[in-house]
Amino acid sequence: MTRLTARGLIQAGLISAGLAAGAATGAHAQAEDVTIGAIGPLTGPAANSGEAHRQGLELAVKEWNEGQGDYATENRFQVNFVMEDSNSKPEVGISAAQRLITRNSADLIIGDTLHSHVTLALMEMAPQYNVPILSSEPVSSVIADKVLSDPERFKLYWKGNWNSDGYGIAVHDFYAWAFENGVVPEGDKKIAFVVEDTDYGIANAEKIGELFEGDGWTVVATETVPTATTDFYPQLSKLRDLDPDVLVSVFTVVPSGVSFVRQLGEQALEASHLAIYYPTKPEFMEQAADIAEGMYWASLQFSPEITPAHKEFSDRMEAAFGVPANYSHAHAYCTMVIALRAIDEAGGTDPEAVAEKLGATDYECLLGRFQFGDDHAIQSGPDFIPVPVAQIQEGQNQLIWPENVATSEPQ
Amino acid sequence: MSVAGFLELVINGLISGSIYALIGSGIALIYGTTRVLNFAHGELLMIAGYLVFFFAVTLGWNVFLASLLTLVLVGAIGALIQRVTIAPLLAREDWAFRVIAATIGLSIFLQSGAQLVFGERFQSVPYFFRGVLVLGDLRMPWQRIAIFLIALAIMAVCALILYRTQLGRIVRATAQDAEAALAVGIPSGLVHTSVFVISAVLAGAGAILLSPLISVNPWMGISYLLKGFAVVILGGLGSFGGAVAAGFLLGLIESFSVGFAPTEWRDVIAFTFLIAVIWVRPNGLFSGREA
Repeated sequence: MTRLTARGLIQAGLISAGLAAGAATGAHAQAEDVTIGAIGPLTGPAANSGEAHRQGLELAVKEWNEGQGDYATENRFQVNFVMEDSNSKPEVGISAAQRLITRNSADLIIGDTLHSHVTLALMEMAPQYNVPILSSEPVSSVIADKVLSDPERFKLYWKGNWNSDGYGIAVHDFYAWAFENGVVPEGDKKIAFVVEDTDYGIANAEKIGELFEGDGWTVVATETVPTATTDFYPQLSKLRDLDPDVLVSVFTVVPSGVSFVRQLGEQALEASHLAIYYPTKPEFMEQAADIAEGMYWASLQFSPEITPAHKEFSDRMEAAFGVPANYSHAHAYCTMVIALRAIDEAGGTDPEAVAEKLGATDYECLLGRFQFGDDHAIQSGPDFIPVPVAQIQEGQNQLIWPENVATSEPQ
Repeated sequence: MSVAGFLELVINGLISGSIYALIGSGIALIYGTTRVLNFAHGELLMIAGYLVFFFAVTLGWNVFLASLLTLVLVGAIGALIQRVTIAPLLAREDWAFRVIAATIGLSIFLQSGAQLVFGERFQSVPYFFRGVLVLGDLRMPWQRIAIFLIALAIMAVCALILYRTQLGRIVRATAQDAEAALAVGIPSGLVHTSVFVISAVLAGAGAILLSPLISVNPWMGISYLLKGFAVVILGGLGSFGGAVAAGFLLGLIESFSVGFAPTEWRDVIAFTFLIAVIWVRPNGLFSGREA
């Protein structure tokens, strides 16, 4: 048996003291770190968007950690970032959130980055686990309605995008302007929708239909198709008989949009077509620029070819990840910056303090001015996040409405 | 509804149905011969989609040559899957659930592998046949008409092989009683592999015909697998002819349900019909005519 000596005891004591000091230093550094979790569709048909979100979020974290962030205070903290897959399914998103909270001790969760139906499930986690949750791209007004139904319960949840009303009002006001200026004929005042079967698609169709009906229009069809559908012939055959004057399509998966636009051309429908969301993806223009000539779409919020700040962001994204930026990169980036600034201003990760600072956000980011309303959703409109309408002209996107931001006349 | 609208519903139903029939008949053929439900069948469709994209778009080869090579390779992959994944399990006593678990695992593995290798971006294959057939008010792209005609031709060839050739007789003999077939000198293992090859080729043909319409992506087989199983159940488990007929029937039901009701009711109507069939004829419309 080894004998304990005074010298040995002193050595052991010194080592222990050193370890304790090291541990204390480590603990101190750990206390200054913040863990942000994110949940988005990294697999499945919407993985393209989820991957763009991941890159946008990571770029914001990278810049923050490297001292290049837009800090709110002089405090500095390092950010650990973990992203989990929702596979576009609420139940998978919930499991991912539980892992982020219990395994990673996430101080704030950004999720879902894309889907309204996943967010509707995830937002319940905020009161259950006392963790601030900030969704990114989802727009369904149902989310905001849920917040308004019980503001106290959802005080830790914030919606990083505007409501479906934003699209609804923009589409309605654009067509009102187009009818008045003879850009599009009103015809028999019949409108039809082909939308994906998600809260996002349905909420947009409902809001736009409601506004048009208020002007005396008739909704002749609302066709909801499963996500990632690419065969629209049965729907288009039916719509040709119904002969709508305006046709609105809403898809988050690009191939759905490409197929729809192609088949619409093959069926030679005479309706004025306005697309929502899918033309924001560069792949859409790569695959459909020739067949989508003249198509209206909402909303062109990120346009490196028109806006120098967007071009500069796209260059940064390309330098970091080797891909040019699109709308999803920009939105995710802004969402993360808002989250980081809220933690910065809160002076720590106390959930209520962070949520309060999130609610007080008033920040100019790439897409416009981010400010939350009473329903915890980002506000849209000329003073906040504009929702302009574009038209594809000679294979290029051109802003055509509102007139004060237009880069071209409608053709 | 106009006459042109009605005709378009019929044609659209037949076109969707021809793809369901191609995929469902492949599943039925395997089940009828080996009693294996292959949950990785949709991934054969996906692999064929990537192969035809690689040959026809990336390498810019002639579409016919690209398609031919795709069918050969996907057939070989089908054989490999049978030999490596299925055959060893069939040698065990309690193979039924093991095979289901193995093919589900293989399906997830292939989807994830495709995402890792090819990325999450959807790949576009251009139309093989350009132009639109216009007959009065009826408009139909030649690509869609070609899908129907080619699928019909492929299934006719398969039916000929199954019912009019020595190989077909061997397959049907093995389907009826593998042990008796083995006793009279028919190598049932080889027959099982051949059936997987034919089934993979049918899925590959479906993928080649579909790829210009649906874009190639790691998950392209999922929805078609579900429809394929529905077709197999509707037609009668294991019946090749039943699966073909049920494929066309399901396509027509879907097309007409969209024509007369909002699209959200399509699957409700189609699967209500399926449940009704199972209720009246538990073994499917064409049960008892295996392989």
